[in-house]
Amino acid sequence: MVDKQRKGAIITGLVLAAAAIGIYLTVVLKFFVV
Amino acid sequence: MSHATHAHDHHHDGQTHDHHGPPAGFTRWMYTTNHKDIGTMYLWFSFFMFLTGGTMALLIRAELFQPGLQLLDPQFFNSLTTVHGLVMVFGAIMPAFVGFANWLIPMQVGAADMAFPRMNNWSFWLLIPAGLLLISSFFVPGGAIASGWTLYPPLIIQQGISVDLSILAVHILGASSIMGSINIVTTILNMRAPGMTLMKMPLFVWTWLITAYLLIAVMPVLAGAVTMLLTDRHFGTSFFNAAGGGDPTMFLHIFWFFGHPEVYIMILPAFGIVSQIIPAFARKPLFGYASMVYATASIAILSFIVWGHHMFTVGMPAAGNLFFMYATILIAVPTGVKIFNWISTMWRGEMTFETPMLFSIGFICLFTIGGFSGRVLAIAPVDITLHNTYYVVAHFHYVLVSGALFAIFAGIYFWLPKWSGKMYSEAMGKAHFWLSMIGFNIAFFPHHFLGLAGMPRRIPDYALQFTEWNAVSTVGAFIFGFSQVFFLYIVISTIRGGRSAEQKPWEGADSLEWTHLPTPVPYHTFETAPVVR
Repeated sequence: MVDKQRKGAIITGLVLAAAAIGIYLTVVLKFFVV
Repeated sequence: MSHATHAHDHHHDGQTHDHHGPPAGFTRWMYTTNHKDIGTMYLWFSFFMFLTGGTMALLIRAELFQPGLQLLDPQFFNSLTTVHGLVMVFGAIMPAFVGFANWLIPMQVGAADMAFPRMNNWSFWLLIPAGLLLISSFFVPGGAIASGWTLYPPLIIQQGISVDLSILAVHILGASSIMGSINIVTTILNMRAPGMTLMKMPLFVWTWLITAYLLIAVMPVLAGAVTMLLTDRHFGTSFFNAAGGGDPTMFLHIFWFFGHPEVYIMILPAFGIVSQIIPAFARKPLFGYASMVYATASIAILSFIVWGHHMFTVGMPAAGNLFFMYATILIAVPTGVKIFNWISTMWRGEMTFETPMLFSIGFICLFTIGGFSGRVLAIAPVDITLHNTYYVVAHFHYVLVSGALFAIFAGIYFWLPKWSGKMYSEAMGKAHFWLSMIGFNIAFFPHHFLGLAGMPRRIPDYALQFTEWNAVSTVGAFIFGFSQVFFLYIVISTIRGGRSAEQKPWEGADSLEWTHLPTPVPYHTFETAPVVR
């Protein structure tokens, strides 16, 4: 149970962090590249 | 709301395992990974910043007591309005709600702590350098940032080093918020007790889940915008600099794509707090729980398509103005659902009016006034007249002070007995409420009149016809300001010498922290998850 919970938490955290970094890079790179 | 039973037969199993308490001294706070310690630090930090920003507000109001320049240099006045806004938004209101989230979410979902306790510690301690950068910018050459909290170019591109300090502070605060939000979403999605389905969660947890998603979506957008400001200032780019072919209006679009969801980031947790307090004192379950959840989600979704209402005057096409106008007016629907549900919860309830309830009812009345003036400003042709007047100042202070801040006060009075084990003085709490209520309205209601009469915002001097209401407003601001020092006294005297609180001092409170945990809550809670029916 705890291992499953930990795995779920790590995956959720990584997905959310990737989303945040992705949004930041989308905003900045869109303007730098154009 | 949910009812829970314990995983084992003996009472409070998993809640009283104080086999190791907090370490003593400074290291307790420096290295803590305990959600309660971190929540406490967030709340104290936000209160310190609230007093700092409040002092700036009183300096502003003192200057505006009468026309002419009395006390402050105009450049310094501009710095005060700017840093007041930044400090209150990023240093006071947001960290206060994160403090509530830290304290309450693990207890309300039946988890032992937040999902990432070390990151939680880091999220808090990032706030300190950010706060210092913001405030210390007053002491650099050129004075503190003076562009307004919205950081608009081209003004911001021209100012001195304090802008760089502030940009760095905003970056750090954004990183802190994103990490805090990741922690909150992960905790809620992965660490709920068995049986605690999403639709059994207390409303406060729901509102924070949605708020955290908003933060993760828009904080990086702000970070992107201020990064581009930084490169415009120092690395030869011209994103927002018209002299180099850039477009200052583009910054407004990017900023408000962040800024409008930010407004809801500051009010949705307030909705959550009020949604927990009103049923407790009406002694009835919350009316329309599911519709409250859907309304919160609707507000969050709509918040992404209304940013243009902050910039009706920049020359968007009429179709654009109309789109943003109608989309903004649409938000009245889910917000109305919420206000209807709170009133229906109170309807025929066995109400009592302790301090948390008073602040919650004050919240509903005054937030609704702020909502109404929001409807007025949402109408594009009206906004063209009222833009940048004191009417706007009245509107957002009704939403953020008597909205977000009153809910924070309500929440502090509601949960302080659970957190500290001590009961505040009801007489002093009520005095604080009435002083705040009266002081706030004297301070900010005249701003409607001033705005309608055409007084522009962010000016240290004004035409003579605005004198009387400005004097009244300043008196109200000082009543409101000093009543918050009284609040500080109430909190400290409660923690140090209040009478002991019962496990459940509020008859109608029914979330896990009241029904399953002793008062004061032990350092470690729910090491064994409760089973929720």
